[in-house]
Amino acid sequence: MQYILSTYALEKSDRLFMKSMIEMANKKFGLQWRLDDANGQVTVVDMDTQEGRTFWETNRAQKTLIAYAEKDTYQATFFLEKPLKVQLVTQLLKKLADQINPISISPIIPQIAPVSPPPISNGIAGYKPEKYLVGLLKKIIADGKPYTLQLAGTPALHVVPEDQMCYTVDMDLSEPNPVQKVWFKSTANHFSKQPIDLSKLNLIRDDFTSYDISAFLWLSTLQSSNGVLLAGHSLTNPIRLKEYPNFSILPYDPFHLQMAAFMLKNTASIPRISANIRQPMPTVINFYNACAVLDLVNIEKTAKETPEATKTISLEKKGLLQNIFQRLMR
Amino acid sequence: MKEIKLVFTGSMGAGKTTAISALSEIPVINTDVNATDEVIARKATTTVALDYGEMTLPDGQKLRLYGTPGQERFAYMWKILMQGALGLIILVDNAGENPLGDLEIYLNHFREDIEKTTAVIGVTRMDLSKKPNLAAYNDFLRKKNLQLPVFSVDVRRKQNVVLMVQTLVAMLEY
Repeated sequence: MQYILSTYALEKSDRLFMKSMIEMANKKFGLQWRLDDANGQVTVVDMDTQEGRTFWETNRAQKTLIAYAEKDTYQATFFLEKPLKVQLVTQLLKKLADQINPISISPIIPQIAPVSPPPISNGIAGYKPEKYLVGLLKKIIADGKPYTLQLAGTPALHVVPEDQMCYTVDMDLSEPNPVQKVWFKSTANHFSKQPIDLSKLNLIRDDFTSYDISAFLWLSTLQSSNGVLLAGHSLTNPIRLKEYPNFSILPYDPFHLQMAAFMLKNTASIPRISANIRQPMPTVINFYNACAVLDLVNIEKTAKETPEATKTISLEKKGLLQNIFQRLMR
Repeated sequence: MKEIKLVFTGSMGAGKTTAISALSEIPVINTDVNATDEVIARKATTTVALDYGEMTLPDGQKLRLYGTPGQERFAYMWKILMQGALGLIILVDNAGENPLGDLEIYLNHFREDIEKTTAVIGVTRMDLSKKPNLAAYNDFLRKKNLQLPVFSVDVRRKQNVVLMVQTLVAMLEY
């Protein structure tokens, strides 16, 4: 099995050393690591740069990161001391290979059968929203009648298209807990669906917390896409956002803001977005799917991609912007 | 050393002073005066020159936050405040008489600056008035040949103000 390592904010010479040390580790331990900055499973981040520290703050919750620094002051799960040493790098790669292979996550709610994701680039057997909670929600919106959705062992979700709202227990959509994540990922056939008696609507409105229905469509798509592109869509089509997602309602990670900004200002294919934003392809695909479900994307089959480097900003300004971004993360 | 600043503009009562207060590490310095004439029906005081707040960045530099006066008769101040700014946040009061008309005023006044830098639009008080909705704002921008982020915001919530500034930064980067 292959493993992919990426680097962030490393000096050119460090990156070159890293590349040759990967080859040594592969020979020594019979591993198959390769360096690919656009698709890394694990990212080495130079913590002695401002850019690296900002990236760390932004991504440490979602990604496996290695703090590369002179001193381990970051309470990092994985730390690599500067300067690069063959022994440290090879041992770390061996340790990582043991930990990230095989990836096996036991379902939190055992009765839910895992859904195996179809291949990413196959436009025919791609992600099908109708198989998940998002599909149920879309159907209820189309029908225009209120329903209660229930997944065994979890709180009921009352969907009221007239209000454009879902009603359920208090939850933090920006940080769903593991049970809630299962809820958003679950296949439609695991939910029971009951019409809501109109006389009970006001009770529901009073007794539960309301959430914009689009936030549930969004989150359910992000959580259930698993890096698989929407069926019928192509990775190579140039795409562009019609409008910026309303993140005051939709849960987001900081990198979603950057992805949206790039996609609002550039017409580009998914691989190019991934390379420019320096986010793995599955992350970009999940984001694209969620935007498409909310009808925020234009597929511009006949349009040309925006040429590379339409906008260049100085390193000084980039550093300043990262400084501001980092300050706002506090 | 060059000043690092962001400018908040927008219609009277849209929440510019509140937004800057949400971010500023210092008490916001402002030039509010008691409202007179038609303004008093909407708020007790109004800003006649500017609001000022600041944030310290991790490297010790100050990010200065300026709020323009809302009323158009003080428009001569808008351009002055915008000189050298990183970008612009436009706040529109959705409960005002003509929110899209208000937005148009600011887009027209700042068009050149927006094209040179960027802008983010925050629509406030949507709880009091749901129309125009965000789709109408996005359509309006498209007709103006502008693609800018638009959010429904409550500027009393710091997270909403942070979102606007983070988005502005992301827009400046790409």
